[in-house]
Amino acid sequence: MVITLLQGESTPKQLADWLLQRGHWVIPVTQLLPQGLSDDAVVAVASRESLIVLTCDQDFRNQRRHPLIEYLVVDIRPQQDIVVVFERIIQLLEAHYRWCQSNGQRFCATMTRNRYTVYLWTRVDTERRIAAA
Amino acid sequence: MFFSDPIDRVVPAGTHPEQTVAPLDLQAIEAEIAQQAERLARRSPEHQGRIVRHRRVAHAQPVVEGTRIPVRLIQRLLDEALALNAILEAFPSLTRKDLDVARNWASSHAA
Repeated sequence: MVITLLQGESTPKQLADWLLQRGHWVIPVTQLLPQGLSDDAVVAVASRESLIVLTCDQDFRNQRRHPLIEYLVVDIRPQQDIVVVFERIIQLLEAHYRWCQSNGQRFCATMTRNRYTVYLWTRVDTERRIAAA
Repeated sequence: MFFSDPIDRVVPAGTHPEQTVAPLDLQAIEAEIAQQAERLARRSPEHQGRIVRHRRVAHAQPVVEGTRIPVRLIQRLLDEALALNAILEAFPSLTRKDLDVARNWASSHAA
């Protein structure tokens, strides 16, 4: 199953290249929108095209501001290890995506060096952390 | 609406006396739109090396002008001792001037 992602400007190119090599679909936001556009424009294009926002910006997790968004917020330090961490966790990420697709759930997750956290939004303002690896 | 055959350019309809066929060169329109989109996507040189803060861009964090790349992220990469070339390769919309300004901005705001 191919994961469709909208690559935010703050996400490094080598991660997008690696995901593309693995067969996923990564569209740089700059390909769809002029550079430096507003958060709302990014959210609108992601929702319209059913893309998961791949970003380093934690504020995309704010469900009050962006209630419909699907996101993968990445915070990996040092950033040069980002691909190594993705290599370690990609199968879990793909399984999570498959589960979301088959259960009609939004894909919402955060990722640090040692933790992949999945959020299940039963209501707009309710957060339930179901897995931490 | 009628379309001409792309090979022999024959318009298959619109031949009744009361009908008029307005020729539209869709390829020219497509090329013009693509050109304008490319111009929009290109970062203006006068934006290079400037730090700005917009309420609706990157959730109001200071960013390099004309991008959505936060200065904080550049600071972090510089703190991680990532080579300038590696940063420019990872974030192709940035220029060396942006990195210099971000570094100075960081040091002046840390004080």
